[in-house]
Amino acid sequence: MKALLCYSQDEFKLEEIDRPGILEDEMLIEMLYTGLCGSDIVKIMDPEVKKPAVFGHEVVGRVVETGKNVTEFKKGDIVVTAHHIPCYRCHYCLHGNHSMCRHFKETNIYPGSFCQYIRLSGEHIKYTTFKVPSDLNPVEALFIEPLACCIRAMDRIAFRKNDVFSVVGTGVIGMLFVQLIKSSGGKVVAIDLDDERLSLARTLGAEHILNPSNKKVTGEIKKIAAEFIDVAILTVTNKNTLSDALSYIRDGGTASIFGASGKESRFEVDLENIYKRELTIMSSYSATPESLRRAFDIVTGKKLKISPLLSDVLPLSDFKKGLGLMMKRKIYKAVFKL
Amino acid sequence: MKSKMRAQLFYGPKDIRFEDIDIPLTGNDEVLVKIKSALTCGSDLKTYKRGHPTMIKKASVFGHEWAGDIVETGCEVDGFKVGDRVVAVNSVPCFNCYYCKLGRYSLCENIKYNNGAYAEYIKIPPNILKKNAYKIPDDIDYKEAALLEPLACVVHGIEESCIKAGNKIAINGAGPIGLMFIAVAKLEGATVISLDLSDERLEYARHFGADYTINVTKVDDQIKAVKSLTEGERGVDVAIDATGIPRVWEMAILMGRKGAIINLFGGCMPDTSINIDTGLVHYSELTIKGVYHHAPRHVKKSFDLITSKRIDASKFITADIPLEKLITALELMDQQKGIKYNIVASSL
Repeated sequence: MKALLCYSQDEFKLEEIDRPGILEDEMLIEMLYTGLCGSDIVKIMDPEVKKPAVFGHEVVGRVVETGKNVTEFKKGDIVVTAHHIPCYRCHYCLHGNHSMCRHFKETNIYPGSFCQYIRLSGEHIKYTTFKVPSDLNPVEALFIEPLACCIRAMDRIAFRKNDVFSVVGTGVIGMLFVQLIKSSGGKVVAIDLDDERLSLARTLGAEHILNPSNKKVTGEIKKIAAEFIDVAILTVTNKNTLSDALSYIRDGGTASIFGASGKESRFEVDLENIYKRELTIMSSYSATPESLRRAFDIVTGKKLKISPLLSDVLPLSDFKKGLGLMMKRKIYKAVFKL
Repeated sequence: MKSKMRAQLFYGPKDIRFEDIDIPLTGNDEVLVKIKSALTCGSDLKTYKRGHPTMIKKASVFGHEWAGDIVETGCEVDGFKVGDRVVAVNSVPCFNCYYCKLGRYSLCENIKYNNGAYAEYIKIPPNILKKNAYKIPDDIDYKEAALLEPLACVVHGIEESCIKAGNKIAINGAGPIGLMFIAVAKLEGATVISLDLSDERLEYARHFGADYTINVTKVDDQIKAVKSLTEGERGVDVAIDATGIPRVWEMAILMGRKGAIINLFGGCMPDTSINIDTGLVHYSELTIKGVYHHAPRHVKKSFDLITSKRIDASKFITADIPLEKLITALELMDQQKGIKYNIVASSL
């Protein structure tokens, strides 16, 4: 079968590799569309991640073969899946920290989603795979897994109706957050360096937009948002966005670290500021079957506007082009097919 | 290995027969356990007296609190081997249905139960084995481990009661469940008022840590008796029913202070109902809740309570009774004698 092998951060080859076999509890899907996630880019760019490798985990596919014990899906079904599964019995799972489970971190789809055929284990079939209804554009189903990550982040934050959120970074995750916060009854100040993206954020529901290119965020935010910022959602996490957030959120407020920060992840903390102002630094990692289920209901119920985030589907052979467009922020998400 | 075993079978109310039946066949992902201890449960007594509405069919094995030794394992079983001392609860949620996705595992639509502790052998189905079974540490007896399931129900009940250290709470009923509630509520830092109609049981209640006991046959008004033990007679912070009697549910509601949590834990007879003063619920902002069964996190907490000996499981077991005399144990329970009985199959 065809698979996109990543040899280094700028070397990708579409090659023939063995098509995965399946056991009686497993099934094989043929990739229809696969999405490039920010976390894939982190792996591609990190010289310490072993290569060559088949990356990718956002996938919509058609079932082409099912093991004899598989009853939930049949040949021809269009399905969407997610890659990690909690064990439901370790200390972390029993405390609701499903994405900290060792089994969660070890499980994955095989060999990755940037290829022609993908094997789903019995656990994937049971917990993280959903049939895509015929009235949903299958490309939009690719947004279920990223949305589930956002839902989990929202679940971990204590907030109330009418609370004001800053959404820092209006990439695909930021745009999902804007809409999720609106449908949860919150208000949004969207922050980005790109006016075009900010204008879409406003269309999607953000009450305020802020481009801090030449200004101090903290001062500006106080000018435009008369209310307090209760929660800062950092889809771009670095020492500047976090340090800004810790200064502009209200006393007792929360800064939620969502985006991976890469190597430059250290930052100086003013303990006195955190202590006296009762600030919370929260984080959220990945999605769980629970948040996936809700994301599936939201996307299939067409509660979010996803089409503005779509661009032309590229052939997998043009992977490098898609990667480049996404990194240069020309498109929100690179989506490929074979 | 032999193919038949002795087992107590439920045929109908007051009709339990001791028979030879087939030893369960185990699949590739299951294990077979030789039962070393099976504990009596109030719901077994209910089954014996009036049948079970859904779970226990005619001519079926029953009993669901047990511990034993693994004697056979399927070729695909991971993490357990022949000779392991093991305990498991009687069900596992599917983790996949609407309610599981809400985290309400005890409401799972596909919950699978595993009954048949009043027998020589029981098999553990694959998902219970994977998610809700534990190896018993050497310093814990089988009968202590067998308390895992009922204590998990109580842990769930305590979680839903939202007890805060220093709260004063009333626990109606000092049967096995009521007594476990007392013991766990004490660990939560509560001051406990225990109510029952048996002095023997109230003696147990004091033993498990009840700060006050009320024999309801000896007071005119048990609601007033509870309230008089609270400051300004305002009522308790949390009132729990562990009797399953509709009249007691009604009284439990009246024992709470304004803003109290009322945990109606004990399951009543089918088709019964209660009367609630709507004004009281409204103006006193009562939280009234039902609680059923357990989720895997409660099972783990129960296991930790038993194995750490913060709950002394042995104290809940009154006596050993041989499997063939199961009915004797159920009759003793019906007379409210003792707490739980350890049903033991004679070694053959």
